[in-house]
Order: sequence, then structure tokens, then C-alpha cells
Amino acid sequence: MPTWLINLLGSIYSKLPVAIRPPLKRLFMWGLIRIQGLSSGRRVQHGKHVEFLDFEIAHLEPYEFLSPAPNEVQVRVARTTVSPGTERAVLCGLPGARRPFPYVPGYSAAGEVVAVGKNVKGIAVGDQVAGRVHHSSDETVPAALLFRVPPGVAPESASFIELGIITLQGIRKAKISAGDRVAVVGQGLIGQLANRLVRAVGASSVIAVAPSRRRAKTALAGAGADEFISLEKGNQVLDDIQADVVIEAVGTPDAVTTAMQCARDGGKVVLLGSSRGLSRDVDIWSTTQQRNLTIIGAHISAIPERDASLTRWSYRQEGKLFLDLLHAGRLQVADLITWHAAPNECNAVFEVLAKGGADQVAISFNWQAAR
Amino acid sequence: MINDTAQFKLTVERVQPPVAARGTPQTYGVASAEGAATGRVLALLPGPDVSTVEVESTRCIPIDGHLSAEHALHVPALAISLWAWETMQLEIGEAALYTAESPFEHFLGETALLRGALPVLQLGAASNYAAPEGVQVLTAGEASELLADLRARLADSVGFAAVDASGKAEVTDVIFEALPRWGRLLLAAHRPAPINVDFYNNVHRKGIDMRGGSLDPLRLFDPAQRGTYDVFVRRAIALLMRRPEAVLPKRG
Repeated sequence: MPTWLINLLGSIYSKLPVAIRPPLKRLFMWGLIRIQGLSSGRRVQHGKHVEFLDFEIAHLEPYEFLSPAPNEVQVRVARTTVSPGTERAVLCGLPGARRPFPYVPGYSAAGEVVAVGKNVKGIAVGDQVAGRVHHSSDETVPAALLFRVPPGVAPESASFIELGIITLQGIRKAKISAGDRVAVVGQGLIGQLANRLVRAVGASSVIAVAPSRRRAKTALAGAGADEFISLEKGNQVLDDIQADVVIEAVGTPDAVTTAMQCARDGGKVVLLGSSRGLSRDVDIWSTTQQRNLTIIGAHISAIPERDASLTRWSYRQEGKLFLDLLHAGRLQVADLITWHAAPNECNAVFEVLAKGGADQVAISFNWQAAR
Repeated sequence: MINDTAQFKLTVERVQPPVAARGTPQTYGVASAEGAATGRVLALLPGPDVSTVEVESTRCIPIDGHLSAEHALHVPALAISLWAWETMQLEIGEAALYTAESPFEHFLGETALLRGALPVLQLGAASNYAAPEGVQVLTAGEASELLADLRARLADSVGFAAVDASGKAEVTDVIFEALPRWGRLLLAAHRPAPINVDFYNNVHRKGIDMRGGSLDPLRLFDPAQRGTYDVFVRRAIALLMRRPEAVLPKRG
């Protein structure tokens, strides 16, 4: 639809009485998707997905979508994993994450291919796939966003794919040497994935740091952290950590300086969490310069689109590696799931998330069980 | 090899004026040294007005006897500039930016050119010497204009490394904002006051590699830092002896 038409319809819509806007919008969308379907020879499909209707309000809503275009794939979703930092930021309208509502969250899923577009190569009906799919029961997505899941990897693990890629690219940028002492600040899902990947690249000790001990059990389980330090009694314990590498996985401006405090002189701090907001009054001279620290930004948008080089693998290369690590048994993630949620529990899930996540680590929506 | 416990009796030939902002009269100079293998050293001096002095051998850097005192006095600034760009892993064809506030900006420019950087940008007018030939000088105006100018000049650059020797929050802000994706930044000046940093937008999202350090050449005389700087001292001496025209300021 041309922009001028969208603008015109938008200005008409904003002049209508508020009470009639929702049914009118539904009617418009109903008609639009059918026109699009008729014009492109695609069928209208039905599914359900999670929608953020407003700040801190999430509902499971029915929705319609079209069968695959030539480069798309239709996925029957088995599992989606909640990305707590980003989804909470959008739900609560945090700086740098404000989106118009209604908003459809979720970007890490696994499921089965039920239809493919005519130009799709390398993915067939019946394949198990993982990739960037919303919290939805069924969805049509570009094939380029999907990875084939190796046999034996369960959907609940494969659905960590995007969170795995986010964490892997940060660990790669840290250039951890075998034998390094590594601290991971923040023990949410990204932090706990980082514990395990840091271990997988040969760290001699992994120190988990968090404000409280409420996530200590999962952090210390399996091939995770060796030691758990809570900051309930203050930050002075941080000076004793003296880590060669610190992974910051909290995502607040204050956490950046906390992470710096954990590093030894000459150490590295990798900013893996999205610290939305300004870090004010940072004594950069004594915290960073005098101590010869290196600070490395590691947001997923900073990975290259193609071609691998030292410390920079592409999105697809990191995604394949994540699934291969699961397949080879070098990484386990399913035991990080603390809540196997039914999709119709989404409001409760996001209420908990809006309040800080309580003791939850990974929350997995089970779409398979809800069919 | 210098004996760690020895003292050298020095006759000072030439002295580098101390940097006022450092708040100490300590400086360095070229001196002939009884007992040193080459007979001459660069040495940490208690002040600029000494002619003979005893200095711990560990605070002395041996220099080639054929290097003139005038050239030898440039060794620390050149070595620390070489260290700065090595730390930033500056590659041929990448854009290099440095601030002109440092007393050593000339060497930051020359060493960036030596490594093949293109373009090489100097932020602010030079305080000691004219900018080296081939360096583009951006004179500071309004921050927004400076930022727009910087972004335009960096638009086609594949890689980017910057050395901020200004210690000024407003200059650091402009550099942070101008950093493109995957840029590298060395914060290298003493900073008397805290600053605000948008780590999320200017470091995290851009995949920036930010190093903390200092361009203070007195670091070269700290025995604990020898391991870091010795190689750059050797390279600086080699350049000053074999290719002085490539690194020394041109005479007007």
C-alpha cells in the first residue's frame, strides 16, 4: 500500500469516534488481507499470537496471515522462548525500546515446516526449524530467518536460538583464553547462557554476579558458574573478583560500572546487556583509563551480515554453531527453563516479567501442548 | 641489560619541558651516563633544571650513541604514539582520528600516516607543530557542525580508530557520537571530572572496542610498564635513526 494512502487513511481514522475505531480497524484488516491474498494467489490462514495491547498488558489474540510467498516458509510453532530483556523493555516502554501498540513480541522459536514458497531451497515440508518467529501458534516467515534443527535437538532447546546467537557473538568478541577467570554480571537468561558458553571456551573459573541469590540454583547447575556472588551486602565484594574478562548481562546503565569493578587491571568488559539509558557521572579516568580496561560493545546488530573474520561471525554462522553445540551435547539449555507456560498464560508471564522476572530464568511457551 | 639495583650518574644534555597539566615538575631528558652500555640514556628527571643527577638505572632507557640529543628527545612521544595506534590495531586504509590537545599530536598524525591510515583527521588546531602533510585538520566549531563534518568525512570509511587525548567531555562526546559501527576508541588523556556516557547507543549497539589508557610518556620510565613499551621504544629509535624525515616535524 502506498505511503500517501496509509497517511490518508490514518488521518481519517484519527478523526473517527474512539468507540468505533477497533471494529472498523478489524473490518479493514479483514478486507485488506483477503485482497492481498487474492492478488497474490495465497490463502488466508488462522493462528493465535501474543499481543502487547498497551503498557504491561499482554493477551493471546487470534490473527490471520497469508500462506507463504515465494521466499517464505509457514511454520507450525512448537516452542517460543521469551527474551526477557528486550520484551520487558518494549512492554514497559523503556528508553530505546518504545514501540507502537498493539505489538507482537517474540523472536526466538522452533517448530515444523508445514508449507514452503516455490523459490525456497534447503527447507522442506516436515523439517524442524528454529529462528526468528513471534510468540505465535503458526506464522509465515522469510526462509532466510530460519535454521534447520539437527536431529535429536528438542524444540524447547532449539527455541533458544536467537538468545543463543546474541550470547555467542558476545562471548566471541570477548576473546576468552583457555584458563581465563571470567565474571558474568547479571544472572537472567542471557547471563546464564553466558555462564555456559564461557565454560565451553575454556574459562578456568566462572563467577556469577547478581543482586540477589534468587537465581543461584540454575546458575550453579550443570556446566554453569563455579561461584555465585550476590550483592545483597553491597558492592565491595566486587573488588576481589579480579576477572580477566567480565560479561555484563544486566542491561542497566549502573551495571556497566559494576562490571568494570569486577575486572582486573588490563582486563576486558563485554557489554552484552542492553543498558538502555545514560551512565551519568562515570569517573572514566579511574575506572577505565588508569586501569587500562577494554570495553567492548556486543549488541547483536553489530555482527556482520556476511563473511566471517576474527571475532566477527555472521548471524547465520553463529546460529548454525548454536544448534551444532546443542546437537553435539557441548551445551545444554533446557534445564534453564523455569516456566513451561501455556500460551493463554501470557498475561501472567508478562506481568511477572514487568515486575523484574522474580526468580524466573527462561520462560518457554509450549504451543504444541495448546493445540 | 641494565643492572636493576645500579644508579647512573648522569650529565644531562637536553631536557623536555614538563607538562604543566600533569602537576609535577618531573620530566625526562637525554643524558650521558657513566656505566650505561651505550653511554647515553633517556632518563626520568626530578625537574627541568638539573644538569647532573643520579638516577636508578631502571628509570633509564638506553639509546644509540649516534642519535642526536634533539632527535632522542622525541623518542618517548613517538614511542607512545606508536603504542597508541598499535593498541587500536590501525590498519592500512582505515580512517584515523586524533585530538590536537596532546603535546604529541604531531606524532599521532605521523604514525597514523605511517601505518597507512586514510584519511587521517586531526580534531582541533595543533598546539605545538603544524599538522603533518596529508592530515586533514577539523577546527572545532559548534559541536553539531563538527559532528556533521566528521560523519561526512567518515561516511565511506571501512574501518575507524580514534585516539582521544583531549580529556574534554565535549570533545569526547563528539567522538562517541561520530563512532561508526565497529569503531575503536582509545581514551588517553587525564580526565579530572566524571563524564556521562551513553554506553547503550554509542558502545553496545555499535560494537565499539573502547580502551582506557594514557599517552603520558613518563610511563615509559616506569619499570613495571617496561614489558609494554620496550618494543615501541626500539621502533621509535629505529625510525628516528633510519627515517627521521617520515616522523619528525618539518621545519618552517
